[in-house]
Amino acid sequence: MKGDQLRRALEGYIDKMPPLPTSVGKVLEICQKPNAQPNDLNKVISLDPVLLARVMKLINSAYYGLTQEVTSLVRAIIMLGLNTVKNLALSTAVLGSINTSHTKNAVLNLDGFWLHSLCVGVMAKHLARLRGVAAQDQETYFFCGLLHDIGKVPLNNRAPEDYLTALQASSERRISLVQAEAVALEFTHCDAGSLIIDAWKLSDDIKDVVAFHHTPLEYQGANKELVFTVMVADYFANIMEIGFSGNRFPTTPPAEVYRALGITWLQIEDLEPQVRQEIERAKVFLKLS
Amino acid sequence: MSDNRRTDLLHRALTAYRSHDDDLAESLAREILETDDRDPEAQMLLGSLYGRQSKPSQAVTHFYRALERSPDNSEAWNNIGVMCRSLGQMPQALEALEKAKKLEPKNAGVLYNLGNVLKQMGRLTDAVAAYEASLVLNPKNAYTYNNLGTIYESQGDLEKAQDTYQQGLENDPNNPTLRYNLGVVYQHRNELRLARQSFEASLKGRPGWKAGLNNLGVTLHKMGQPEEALNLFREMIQDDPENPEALNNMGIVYQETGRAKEAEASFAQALKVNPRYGKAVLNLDTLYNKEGKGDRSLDLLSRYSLLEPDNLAVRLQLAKLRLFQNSPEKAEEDLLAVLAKQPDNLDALRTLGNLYLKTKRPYLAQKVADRIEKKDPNSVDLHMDMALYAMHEGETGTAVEEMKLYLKAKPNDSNARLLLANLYQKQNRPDDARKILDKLRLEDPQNTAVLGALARLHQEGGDQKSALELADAILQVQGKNSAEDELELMMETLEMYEKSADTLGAELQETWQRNLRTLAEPLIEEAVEVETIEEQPLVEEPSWMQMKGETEPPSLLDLGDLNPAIMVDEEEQTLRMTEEEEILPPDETWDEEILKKEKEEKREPKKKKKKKPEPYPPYPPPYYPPQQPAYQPPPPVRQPEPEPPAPPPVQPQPLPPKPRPRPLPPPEPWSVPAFEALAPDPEPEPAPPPPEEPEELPMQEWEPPVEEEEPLEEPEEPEEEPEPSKLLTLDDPSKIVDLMGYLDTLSSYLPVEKLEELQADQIPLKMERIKNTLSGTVSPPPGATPWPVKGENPLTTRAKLQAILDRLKDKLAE
Repeated sequence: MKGDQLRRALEGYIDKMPPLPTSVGKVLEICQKPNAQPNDLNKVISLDPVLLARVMKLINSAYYGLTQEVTSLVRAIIMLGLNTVKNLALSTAVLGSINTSHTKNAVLNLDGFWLHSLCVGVMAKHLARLRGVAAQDQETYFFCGLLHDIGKVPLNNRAPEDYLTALQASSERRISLVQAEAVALEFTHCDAGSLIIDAWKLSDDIKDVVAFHHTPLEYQGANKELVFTVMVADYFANIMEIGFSGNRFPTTPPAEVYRALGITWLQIEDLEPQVRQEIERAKVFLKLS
Repeated sequence: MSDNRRTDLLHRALTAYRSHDDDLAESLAREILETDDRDPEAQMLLGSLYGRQSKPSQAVTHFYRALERSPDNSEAWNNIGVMCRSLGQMPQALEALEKAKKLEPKNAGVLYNLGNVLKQMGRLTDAVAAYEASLVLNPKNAYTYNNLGTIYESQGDLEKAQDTYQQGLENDPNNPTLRYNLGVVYQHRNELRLARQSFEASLKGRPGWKAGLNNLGVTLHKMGQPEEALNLFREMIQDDPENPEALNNMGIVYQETGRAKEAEASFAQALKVNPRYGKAVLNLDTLYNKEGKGDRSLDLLSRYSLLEPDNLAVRLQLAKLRLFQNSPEKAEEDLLAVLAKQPDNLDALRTLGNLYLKTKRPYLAQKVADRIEKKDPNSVDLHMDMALYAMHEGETGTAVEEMKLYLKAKPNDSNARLLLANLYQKQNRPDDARKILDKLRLEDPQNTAVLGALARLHQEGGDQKSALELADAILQVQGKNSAEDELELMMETLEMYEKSADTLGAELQETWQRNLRTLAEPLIEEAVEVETIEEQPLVEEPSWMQMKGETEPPSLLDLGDLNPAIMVDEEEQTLRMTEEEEILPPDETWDEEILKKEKEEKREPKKKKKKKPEPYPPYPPPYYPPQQPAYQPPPPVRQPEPEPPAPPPVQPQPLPPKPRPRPLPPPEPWSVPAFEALAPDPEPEPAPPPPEEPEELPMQEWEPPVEEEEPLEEPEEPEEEPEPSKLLTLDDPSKIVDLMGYLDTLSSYLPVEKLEELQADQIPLKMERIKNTLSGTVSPPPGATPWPVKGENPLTTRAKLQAILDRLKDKLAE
């Protein structure tokens, strides 16, 4: 399968994926309101006991490193910020939906894939912090990094043989995986990811990251820094071989990307030890789903 | 809580546990713990409950709590040991069991569990001691026999293993695991009838057991009942269409009974069910290679190694394939990846050495050779490869040095010695060459290759008399062969003539390339074996629960009395059951052994009847050396091995390969055991497609040593055809004619490209020359008359041959 045929197959697959819980939609809706209050979010999350339990578990995990146990969601929202809790709720909901369907024939090893994704999320968050992005927005970087390759999941599960052909093309021709996908499948994981984002009606920031993290210079929208940051973090994860998402020959980010972010590769390398440590803590996300 | 109340709760909890009402048992135990959270019995019960539910880490916690008040509870220590083992925490398991043993040295169960841990830690001697001690205390435990037997088996002591299993069966005649393992031993010892009985008995005890069914199928196949085996596998697949082992084994049976298409479908289906199934990949790869589908092979392997980059066997095979298909860079990458994980993989090292030679980096090859020598001084094949490379490059001095290194480790390799003699001759050191050749002749006076080389030496040294004597000797040897062999030799003789025109270099190159190719094949061979192994996919870790349900002895409930001591024992038993499952793993070891054995078995028949697959089309068939006008001494060739006489080809048939006795492929004079392993197919080859034909013919070309006699016959004119006088020994000259006609006809079945190849290599011309030789005419200058491939009238040939024979008879009479 390739091209449109593949697209249709993936659309069918995504249709059958468990949808995000309705509570997540409401969370997104509330957080889009400029004057959203912690209690509004609290009400929505509290209505979904599974979501609530996961959020509370995350908040009290080592990932956030709070000194004392937080038992009230409102308190957590006040401490961490609306945006953080929103992203946290979103992450756990998306991971919960996407990870339900495993195919034993899957080409990519899911452990490696999610480790890679965590690394990109954590690195993106650290880069945001390094660049002075506001604390409540940093979690968006984590969320977008975590889900940047989400399009690989349906490819991997629905069309493993074809996806293997793409991996083979990448390996044989020493081209990046996304290029190999374009050649072998006429359809990339960025395209597939966009299908999911649309199906789940997620926000524009994650949509842009999923669609443009391999073609940053083509991106003209408002989330440039986010897209660029995730691309650099992705490159870092590939080069350092933290996890593996099938891209053995990653494309070097163009100089414009570094320039726009105002960071250098050396700075990124310096973050490695912290990133590795935090990945361990962030693994709690994977355990929840 | 009053004592009565506690006793009542505990009793009810135990009863619930016994009747597998886990929820009730747990809630009752917890009720006790609410009052006293260190109640040892309640903690033990909970621990056992979790153990049974395959929650070992929770179980361990409760057993430790039980120890808080009664630290000398040997049962708790024992159970901790069992649970830690199932968690893979061997040192902790060992420690706990040692404690249990100290507290209760006469407990057979503890000793048994200790044996299991020691065994898993690889301390086999200690494990044997523990099992034996356990058997002294309790000679009735079938599992102890079983686990002890698998140790013997893994150590290759089949007799002891068999005895042990049989002792176990005396105590438990229907134990399916013991029966199964006994069957494996029988299979291993090639006592197939008994193996079959054992597997069948095992299946009675455990109907539908996949491992047993698989092995039964394999045994049936080995017993020469492929249809029964196929039926069995088919049934298995019917029951479970996603059974990759059965599919794979079915593919093997198909393959070995010549049904390549069905075999391919079976392997492909196995891979569809489980794309990560390495054995099916290797089997399918072998099949592709046999059918000359090198590209599909490459595709298959490269896809698989993306899925399973850590399967080093496949990676190595892929590297070899890539090396042959001229992608040395990727091959190097794969090899380095293999070597990164297995720095001592000699096969990979040798391949890497060859890669460096192929990419003209002999200095790196040298380094690899040094590394190999460090690992295993007897592994010198790379030196042979390097010698050939040097010969090819015209560096005779280097070649001599490398050959000497090779011979240092393998002083008896006659092919290498012949090559060395040849090199000496090239270096103008006839005395050294002669020394070697004389010795070789002493060792094997019948070796015509040696005789030929000696004759040539004499001839070049001007000692025509000795040369003639040697020629006589060669013909003597030939004369003893059967009529068909004679025909073979005749063909060789003719080719040897032509070969005199070949440069040594060209041949060496071919030899080297062929060697490379051969190098690629060992894995293929292994693959075939692997498949066979396949059959014994052990049942994967049966869960604790399963174990219980099946053969399990008394469950905790049985212990069920409130008496805690009993409980302990019972737990042991339950735990033990888990251990029992262990038994199966040993089979894996067994698998390997079987492979080895199979390899050995295959080797011998191989030499005789197996045709080498020529899997890599990209290589020019080495058999047709480019002809060169200059006379060159033919390279020493290995003497063709005596072959079982093939039925004389009477009528031209489309499938020629069989009639020809096959000499060992001499191209790899250094053919080492590894190479031999290459010739994989123990099975009767399916009728080869016509294209294979040309390949067959070439093989004979390698036998030219025989031909060396020719020059000897007429020493004055070495270039001239030899006197065919010895042909008189042919008992039926018409066979010659038949052969010629046969070959002629055969060639008409060749596909166009092969035909072109044939003609390009002047094979027809050579044949014509032989005919001419036989008829006493002077051979036409090369290239003058292409042999009419289809045109020649067999009658004409026959007449010519008859004339030769007559003439020779006259001469002899004179």
